[in-house]
Amino acid sequence: MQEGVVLSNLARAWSGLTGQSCAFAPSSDPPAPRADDACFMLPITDCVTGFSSHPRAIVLLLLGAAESQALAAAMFGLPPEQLSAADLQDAGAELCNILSASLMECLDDSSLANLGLPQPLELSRWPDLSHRGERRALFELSDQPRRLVVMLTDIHLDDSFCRE
Amino acid sequence: MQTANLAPLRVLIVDDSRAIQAIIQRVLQAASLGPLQFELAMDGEQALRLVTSFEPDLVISDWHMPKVGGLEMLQTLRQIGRHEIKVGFVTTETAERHLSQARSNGAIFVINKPFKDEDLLREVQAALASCREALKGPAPALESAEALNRLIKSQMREIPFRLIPAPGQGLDDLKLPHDLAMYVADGQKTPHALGILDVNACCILGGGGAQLQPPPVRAALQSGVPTPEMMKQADLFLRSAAGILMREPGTGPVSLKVVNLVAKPFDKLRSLMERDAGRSDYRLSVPGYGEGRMAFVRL
Repeated sequence: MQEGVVLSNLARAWSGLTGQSCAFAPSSDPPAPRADDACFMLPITDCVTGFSSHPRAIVLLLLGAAESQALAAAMFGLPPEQLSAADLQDAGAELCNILSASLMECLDDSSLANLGLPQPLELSRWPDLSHRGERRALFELSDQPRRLVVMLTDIHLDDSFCRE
Repeated sequence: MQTANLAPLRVLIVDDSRAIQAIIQRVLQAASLGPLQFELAMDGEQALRLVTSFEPDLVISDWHMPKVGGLEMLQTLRQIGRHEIKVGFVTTETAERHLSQARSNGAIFVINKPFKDEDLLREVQAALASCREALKGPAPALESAEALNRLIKSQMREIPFRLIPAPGQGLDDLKLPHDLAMYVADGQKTPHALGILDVNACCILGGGGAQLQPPPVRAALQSGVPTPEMMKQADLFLRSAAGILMREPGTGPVSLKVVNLVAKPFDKLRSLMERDAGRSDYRLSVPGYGEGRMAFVRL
């Protein structure tokens, strides 16, 4: 994995969607979620199995409330006060989708990997999921107080995911 | 003048994200792409249902979607014989093994998310330009606006005028009576084209041809009665126009067969204009004289 390329692609994705310049940096531990954060998950499957219920890796995204609003406002072209909760969720899920494409680079071999569909994740599931499997990448927006964390976990050998 | 097709082109945006739908629509609406009509679908299944009712000229689709994905939608379109519908992808998909499948099914572009507005516009512009080309109406009745301009200039000499395209003008827009000319091509039994000057155009072209001062021309316009000298000049103009009528390769020279001043429009003329086998419609404006209309109709 060329970490510099991934970091640059993540920054390009965020600035492309929001118009805000930013920088991403590696992080050591996933943060605990706040009550107003939004979380998303996207499964990555092998095309050998092709079943979304049998992922080989997952991407997790945690987005602060201000970042959710800024993202949705830019994508929908609406002032924040006109955005609905569904708009915020839609924009966040699409961000998760786009960042996931960049994070695929972090897999040992992505030649057979397929992106699944992004889905909202309950905050209560974040602490567990963010500490399971083999973490391949964990990045966050480095310019505080912005709050955006994205991570890729390889769960290829973690049977517990398949039993869920 | 080529008859411009002003019907909006139809663009179907297929993406399970409403935010991406909004971005694509906003980018295209802000550009000068001509009139566009949009329809939105959240997945390939919904898009396939919309295809028969909306008849899109261009489909811009995501790849990964619930139910029916972008590639499956494209393959289904081709399987049901809809090869004419242009499909482009805006997607996070980068795997060459997938993208080559899209291209082999006729995808005209693949742009990765997040995309730059100019990248999307460049691809969509190219796709829509070819749609507009395919949708263009029949060839015009006259060779070109420049040729008509030259002909009027030779008639009016130093009198300034302005020729204004009037696509879609109806027979009722031409003020009665009409100077109606019928043209035939050498060796053809059926008429080749019609030329129509409304009474104002007769006065203006006739007055210009006779190099009259504005007052008598304005008087004729006001009364709706051109003088014999004006009509002689108007008829001469219509005779000369035979030389700038559009001809297919192999068609012989075209000449004026008959010209008549008609007091009432007849239904056949109206239906020929509406059928539009090729038309050239103009307004002629001359400072000090006034404004008239003319139409040339291929038969």
